[in-house]
Amino acid sequence: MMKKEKEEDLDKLFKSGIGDPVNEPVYREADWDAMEQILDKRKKRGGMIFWLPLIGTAAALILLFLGLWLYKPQAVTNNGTQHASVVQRPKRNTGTGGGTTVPAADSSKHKILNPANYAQSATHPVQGKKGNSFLPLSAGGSHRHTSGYASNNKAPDKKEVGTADATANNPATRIAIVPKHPDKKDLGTADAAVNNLAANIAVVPNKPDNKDLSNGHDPINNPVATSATALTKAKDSSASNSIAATPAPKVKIKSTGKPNPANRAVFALSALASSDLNGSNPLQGGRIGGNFGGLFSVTVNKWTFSTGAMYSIKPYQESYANYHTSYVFQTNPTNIGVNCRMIDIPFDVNYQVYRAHGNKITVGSGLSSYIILREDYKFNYANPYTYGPAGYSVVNQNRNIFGVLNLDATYEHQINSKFGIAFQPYVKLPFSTVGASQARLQSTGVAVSLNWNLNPFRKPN
Amino acid sequence: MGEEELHQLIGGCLKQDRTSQKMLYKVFYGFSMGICLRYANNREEAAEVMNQGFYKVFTRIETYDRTRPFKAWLGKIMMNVSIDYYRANLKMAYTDDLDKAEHLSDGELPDRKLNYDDLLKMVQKLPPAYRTVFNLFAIEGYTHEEIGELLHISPGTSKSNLHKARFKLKQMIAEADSPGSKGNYNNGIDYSPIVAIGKTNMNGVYFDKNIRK
Repeated sequence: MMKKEKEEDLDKLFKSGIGDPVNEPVYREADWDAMEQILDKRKKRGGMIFWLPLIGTAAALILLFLGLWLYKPQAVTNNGTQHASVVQRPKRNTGTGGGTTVPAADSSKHKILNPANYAQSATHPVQGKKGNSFLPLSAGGSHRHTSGYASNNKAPDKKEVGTADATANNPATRIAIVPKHPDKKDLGTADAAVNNLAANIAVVPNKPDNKDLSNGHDPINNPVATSATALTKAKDSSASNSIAATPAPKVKIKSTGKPNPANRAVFALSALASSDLNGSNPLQGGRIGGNFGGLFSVTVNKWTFSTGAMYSIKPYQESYANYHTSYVFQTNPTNIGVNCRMIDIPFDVNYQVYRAHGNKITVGSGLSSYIILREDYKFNYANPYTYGPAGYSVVNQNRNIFGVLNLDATYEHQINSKFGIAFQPYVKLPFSTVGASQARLQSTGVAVSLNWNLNPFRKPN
Repeated sequence: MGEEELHQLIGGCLKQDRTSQKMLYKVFYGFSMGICLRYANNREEAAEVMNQGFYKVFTRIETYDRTRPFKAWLGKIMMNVSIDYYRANLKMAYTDDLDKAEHLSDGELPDRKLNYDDLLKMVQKLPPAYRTVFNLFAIEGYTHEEIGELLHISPGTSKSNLHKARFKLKQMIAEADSPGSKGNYNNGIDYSPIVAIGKTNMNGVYFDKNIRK
């Protein structure tokens, strides 16, 4: 009981003594200066933090746009690039009918056409749909068939196959290869011979995967049917069939306008983990740290652009000579152990220097931003019983925007079309000081990453 | 300061007017520092904690209910900031061998009047864990259950810390009352002698008192 009273008395003594001080502590201008610094610093950082997501989003959008732009099928650009060249001109069939070339109705010549080629010839979107194509033209025999070679002679709206590069893929102009000609000259005329020859032109089929030729309408997937129809129609023709002996001229279509896989963007996500050696003053007192995170990358041709975020734990030790503080130690520590936890946001560009058999080597560089979440400083004294602070922590105070240079080399092995594994030795060199103690923090290590191709049907570079 | 003048200052702070902020800071500096000093080791640490409190005041002043006393709101913020500081950095800072305190006799309270500075020094010499509990219980009037919730400790720990704090204070008072003490209340428990801290490095910098990790 008495003890409790004494305790209460003690409490009262202190409550009355310091609970409501008579003489309040005197105002110090230095404290307000520190307050202003806090206000100014956090205001600035607040602005920066506000902009960081926007900057990141903008960078991601640019990467995405760049990738999509390079990724999209280049149907439009094909117009100016596809070539159809005459490899061999047909011999003119003089026939036996008195000097007049008597090639039969051009429709008959379809008998010697390779069905696939023929079908391909008839893959004009307009033609393919309703039979407005080559087939009625040949069947009726009333239209000249003016492919490249023939069209050189007569067709007023002809397109020379060998030079009509820009038209090869164009639905309207592909007629030049298998034209529907408005000129309705008879097959029995001299022109017919030309037409026959023209019709004999064998079109070297383009690659089946060249969808630009079919353009979505075509019967290319059903060449037999198309050619069969053509043959049937050809039989209806009454023209003689001297074509059989006529060697088929060949027109080779070079499709240089086909989208080059190498030009397509490959998007990838990577899960990455690494272990590195961290230190200041050329890795003096380096300690092992760890990083893990994710990266998004776009590969175009031989260039890979990547960004992402990694959580990094970077312990290191620095000598007191390299340690910066305005705090005055009574006894200076011999060294300072530091443990930094941060978010590392890299923007890197890599260039492929080697690629074969699913293996790829790239070298790259870039810049990293450090968003330091926490810094723990531990002061180590020569004498363990030294009277002085043990350490301190800085929480969420320091940023290092694009202040670190990344240098790396990456070896990547493609496991399958979707996944690959990569090993990446790297070095991180500071442009500026890092953290509250203004250390020139360097890191070197090896990262291992699992890469996931988001568009595996595209052949990765 | 009159109510109207105070509201003008608060209005200025709402607009982030730096002059109004400074005026408010100056007006309530002593009051705020008085609270923080009780929880801190020294003036510098108290100033740091107080500035964190004022930062909260300036950035969240829109949450202040003008129908209530501003001083009470400010005092609560200062106390909370001090507790946050304790929780974040000092919770594990210090324990000593006061378990044997149970076996020691209670000292008598001094006959002479101890002034504010003497009492404050004594409180500041307490280990942070004891000091915080003592402040909350004896000065602020919280119960052990409330203290337990505030500090994330059990009520039993709070009671134990209070008991040890009282014992140490009595010990210091007895020392102070002894003829040759010269006001030195140091009973052998020392804390980090942070005497000068650069302003530029102190924003958000917390010192772990005597923690040797």
